[in-house]
Amino acid sequence: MLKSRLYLLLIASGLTLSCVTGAADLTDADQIVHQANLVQYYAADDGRSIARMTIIDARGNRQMRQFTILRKDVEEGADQRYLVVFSRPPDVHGTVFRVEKHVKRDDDRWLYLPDLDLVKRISAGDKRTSFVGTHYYYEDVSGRNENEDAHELEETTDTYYVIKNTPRNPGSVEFAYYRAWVDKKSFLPMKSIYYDQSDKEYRRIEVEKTEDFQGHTTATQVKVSDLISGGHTLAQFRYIQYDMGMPDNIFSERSLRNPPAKWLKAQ
Amino acid sequence: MFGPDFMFQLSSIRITPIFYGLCLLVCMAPLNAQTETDSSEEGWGDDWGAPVKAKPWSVDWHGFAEGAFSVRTRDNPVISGDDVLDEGRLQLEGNYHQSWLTLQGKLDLLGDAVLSDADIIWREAWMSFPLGQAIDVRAGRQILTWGMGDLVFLNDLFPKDYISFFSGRDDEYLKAPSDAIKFSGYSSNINADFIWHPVFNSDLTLRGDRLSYFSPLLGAEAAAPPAFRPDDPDKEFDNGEFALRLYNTLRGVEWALYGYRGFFKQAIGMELTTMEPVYNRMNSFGASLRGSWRGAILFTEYSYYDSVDDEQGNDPLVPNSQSRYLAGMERELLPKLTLGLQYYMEWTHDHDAMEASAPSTEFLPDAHRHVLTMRLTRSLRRDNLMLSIFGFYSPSDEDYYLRPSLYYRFSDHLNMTVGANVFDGQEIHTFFGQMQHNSNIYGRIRYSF
Repeated sequence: MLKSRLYLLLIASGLTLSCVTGAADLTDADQIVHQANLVQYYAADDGRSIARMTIIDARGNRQMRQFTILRKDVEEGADQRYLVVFSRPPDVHGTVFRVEKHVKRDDDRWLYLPDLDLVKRISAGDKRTSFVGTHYYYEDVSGRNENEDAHELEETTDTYYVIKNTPRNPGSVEFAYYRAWVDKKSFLPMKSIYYDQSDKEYRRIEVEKTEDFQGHTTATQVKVSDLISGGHTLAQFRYIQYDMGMPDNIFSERSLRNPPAKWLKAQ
Repeated sequence: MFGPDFMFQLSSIRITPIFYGLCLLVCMAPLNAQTETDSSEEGWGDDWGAPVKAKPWSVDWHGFAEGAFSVRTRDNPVISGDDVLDEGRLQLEGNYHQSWLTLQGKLDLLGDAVLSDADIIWREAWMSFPLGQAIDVRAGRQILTWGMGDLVFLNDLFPKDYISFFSGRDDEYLKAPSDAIKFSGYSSNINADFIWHPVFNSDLTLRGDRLSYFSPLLGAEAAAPPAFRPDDPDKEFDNGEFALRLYNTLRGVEWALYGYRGFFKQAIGMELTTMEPVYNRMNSFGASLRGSWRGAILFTEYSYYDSVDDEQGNDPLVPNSQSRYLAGMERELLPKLTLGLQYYMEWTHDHDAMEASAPSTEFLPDAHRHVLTMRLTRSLRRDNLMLSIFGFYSPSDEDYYLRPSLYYRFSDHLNMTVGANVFDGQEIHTFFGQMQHNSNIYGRIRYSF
């Protein structure tokens, strides 16, 4: 039942997409942001990608994180399940992170530490803090709830919708506002710049490469820069596959101890 | 908290050969690593490693080299040396995976200058395979953990290594390996773990060679020689350990039921004829719940320890039955600042009968032992610097144990931890009070590969 509704929704959103790209520009900022959110975080019903993030600090010191990320949508545009299995660096090898993302309440998060055989439940933390030591924030990885910001279409260029996003609860985040450049064709936000109270830009996310996988335009190289410290993280995504037909039960405690090789392994 | 003797010890730390050698080795290692990973412009290379390896029979190798040093901060009346740890460790880990079979081995090579010992220890050596769709089997030497507590264990009756924990080794060494077969079954309504230890695996408790302990027989602190090494139960089928957990998650709330048949994990009983310490029979059952509420994790756990050989509680040589209860929470106070709080209680049943039958009540545990714990963790510099303090405080025993630590990650390969184990108490026979002359500061440096 849910499945068929999802397909309907997908078809409907696909239709809207092809209609609008062929026709006039969109003028509703909320609709653009919603579409961008779906394209960026809800492509297909499920997806697998291997991510490698190189962290380069201002002094040129380098660290690396590599992990396989499995994602399944519970409801399009809403709840999702994530499994993140780390393979590098050696001291976090075998660590597994599981998230039940909820739109209407706090996410449920677990971390499995293989050396202790410990399944640790993690409290809902500030989502705008470093994701595993990178310049990415948790929210950059699993998406920001679009209702948290007020959206304003500032400009429509030949290629981009330029959206200004202002937080509805300014105390909950570190930015005063951020501006996103959403590609008019793919609806992928190609650049986001974060500004502080004095309109100074201090953080930047840039999509450097995209590729098409099974009809979904996907970012394959992203640079996240911290303009205050001078460091940045360069992320590459490979072995991307959508609609693999992942069952729900791989997002479970079983997978923390025995990661589901069938779905993790690049074909 | 730190007396003048602490400052004295700080100034008199001697760097011993093993520690010094390992530091050198560990510090030189990243120089090579740096040149390796820097081969391409952004340090990428095209090797995406294990998850994309297609070759059969390829083994994934990991490990670390570590130097650890720990020194007492107070004079110990029964152990003359100040060193608690002075050791070098090389861990090699190999993992092989094919369609249905996983093999894992983890081998520690340990050179220990405190006990003048060299050891080869299999920390893990297991195989894992599925039985049909819904059952996984893991057989061999493995680390096992369950339960809700943070450094407090109720239904988790898998072996602990308290010597490592109190002397400044990495937290992972608190968990001693078990030789066991584990069957894990999964369904949508309920999951189950059944674990059989064919041979009893006791806790590793204080022996008196590295850390002193309180001996109720002597009525005083004791140390080796002779080392405290109680005899394990005979290797018979009936003396094996069986542990069961049934669990699932319902609307974000994790529930579990536990059962165990075996022995008290520590030799707190005594054999009448020989007056030797002995592991008494014990069965336990319990339950736990864990959920989230307003951004915090809340959890609770209960366990009943049934002392099979002393149901009435009137045998002074056998420990009494107990109820153990835990309630705790964890939440992020500020970004990257996390607070954990726990309340833990041990209720010794039939305490009156125990008092009536005991030859002396001086060192008997209270009917209720209360313990409060707190953990504060601050993570800085994109998680490369971690400051943490964990404290145990017992208002009933009037003793405490503090574990401050600082962890710094220099690179993906090199990290360092410095910290302390600080014990004190009003009396020498309580759990942490007996450790007061074992307080130590430690340092570890580790190169992972």
